[in-house]
Amino acid sequence: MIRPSLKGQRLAALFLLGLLLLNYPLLNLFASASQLLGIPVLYAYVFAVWALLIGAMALVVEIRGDD
Amino acid sequence: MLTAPIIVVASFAYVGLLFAIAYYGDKRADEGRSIIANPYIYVLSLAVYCTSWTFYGSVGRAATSGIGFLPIYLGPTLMAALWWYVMLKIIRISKQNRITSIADFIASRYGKSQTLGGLVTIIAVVGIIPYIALQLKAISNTFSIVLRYPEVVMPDQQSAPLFLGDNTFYIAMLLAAFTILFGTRHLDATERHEGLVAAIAFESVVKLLAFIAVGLFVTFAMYDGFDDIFSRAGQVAEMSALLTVGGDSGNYTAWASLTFLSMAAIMFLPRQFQVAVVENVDERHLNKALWLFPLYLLAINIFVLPIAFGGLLHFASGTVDADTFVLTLPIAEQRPWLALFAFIGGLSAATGMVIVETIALSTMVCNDLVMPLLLRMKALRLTERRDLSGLLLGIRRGAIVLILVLGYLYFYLGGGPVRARHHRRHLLEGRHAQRRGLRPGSGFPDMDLHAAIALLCQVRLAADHVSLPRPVRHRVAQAAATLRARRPGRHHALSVLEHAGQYRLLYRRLADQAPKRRRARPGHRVRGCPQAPCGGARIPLLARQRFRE
Repeated sequence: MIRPSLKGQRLAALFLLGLLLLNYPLLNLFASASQLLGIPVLYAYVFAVWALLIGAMALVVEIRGDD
Repeated sequence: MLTAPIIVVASFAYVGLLFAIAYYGDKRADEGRSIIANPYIYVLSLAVYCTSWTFYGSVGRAATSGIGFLPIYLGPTLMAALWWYVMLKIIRISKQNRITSIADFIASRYGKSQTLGGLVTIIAVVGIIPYIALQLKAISNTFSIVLRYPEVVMPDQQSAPLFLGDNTFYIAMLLAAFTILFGTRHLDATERHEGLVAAIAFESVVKLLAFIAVGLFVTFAMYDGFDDIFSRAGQVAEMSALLTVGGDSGNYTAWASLTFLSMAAIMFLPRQFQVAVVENVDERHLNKALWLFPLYLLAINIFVLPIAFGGLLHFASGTVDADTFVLTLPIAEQRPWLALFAFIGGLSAATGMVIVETIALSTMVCNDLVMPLLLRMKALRLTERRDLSGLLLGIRRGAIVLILVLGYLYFYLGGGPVRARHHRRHLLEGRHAQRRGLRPGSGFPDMDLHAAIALLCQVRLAADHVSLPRPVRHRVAQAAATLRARRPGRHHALSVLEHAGQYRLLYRRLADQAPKRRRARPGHRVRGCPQAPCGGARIPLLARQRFRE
């Protein structure tokens, strides 16, 4: 199971991942005017990434190791 | 239907409810059965980050720059991932060192420098006043808008007379009164206000529900859902540009810099430090907070874009200020209760910010700016007074009133586009960098453990009026000299000694108050010293914990 010290490192990794996904190079990929299920692609992408990041942070924190 | 008396009564009833909650929270805290000792309340109190800027201003920004309103919420989300390391450490350090404000914290990292504490306080006050003015503006504008129900009329931009003729002044003074009643009823050494936290948590719920209510109304009652709004927006030429980020790189730079700025804001804003660190009950709440708080931010932002586009589609361009869509759309659609709910939600957001921020600032002004100056003035002979609590409370109340008056004046003088928070971050970061250049290091990272203990013991013993046998004094002097020789350009030893100097004063004060029989007599050989390391019980807790970091 996840040792407590790993949680901090995984969270730091999520931080870096979020920085990457939510800034210029990758963000620009989605900055087109098309739509996905009626929602503009950019909005769908940003909100989906945001929600997934939060979910990942929740998973990392809440999964209990054998402590 | 929505006449002035109803709105005023509703507002006062709401604030009265907040008082009741705060009073109940404080009462339960005094009984030892705290109602705020759970992680969900902690998360909701952190949501004081969302002010009327979130409630009204996000929609305004979305209407002009599409997704450009979002970075100030993404920043805290990303920063929350780092809270596991950073915030936990800050909370622990603050609890051990009895740090009660951001000025204290910064000053203590640089050797308990009072100058730095005072400087941070001044910068904080100057930087936050425009932000407070913005909240006052939100309250007064939305009040005049909702007064004109069922018409949608933008507030008159002509200036009202200064002070007594101006509604906003009364709002500011009422807020001052509320803040004084919320935060300065009594003095608490840890600067915790349990009732306040309960009230702020309640406010966070109200503003979230109000915003979501308006969002649901606009998306599903006025239009046919998200796809309907967005497809209609796409058909209008000016709006389709908002559906994506602008092509030039300037927009991406702004995006990234806002993200970083808000990462700093969530850590260093005085109100955030107050609720996240000072008011923290249990550090384990941080575990839930670091993902629940971003979830709150996500939830309150889902409907920003639909409301923005709904408003742009509904009102002819230029007639209605986009900042007010959250309020004017229910009014335009003849929904008085929803409009009132939206007004109360905005009131919630603004008053929450003003109250917590002003309390945090007044604590800083009292502890880090005014009191050090007063203590220096020997003529006042404050150190001889038995009980300073009346003076402290008076200073805080005065600071609260002063800050709100300054906020009102800023609002009156029509401060330009409010970049207050950003301005303040630049100041803080610049000062940080400068200070880092001047005084590298803090605490005792390089010092030999034994030498440091010996040094602190000497300090402690000096406070106990015990004269030390020669070997210890010599050893300490030796240690300091070794340190200076080892690192000729560094200032570690100096900052340690300065630090110790502060402890010396503190311990002398404490020793003065200790009952006579327990005080060591001069020449008395204290058990465990001068051997180093001496028995653990003699070492101040601070030293022990510092080494563990």
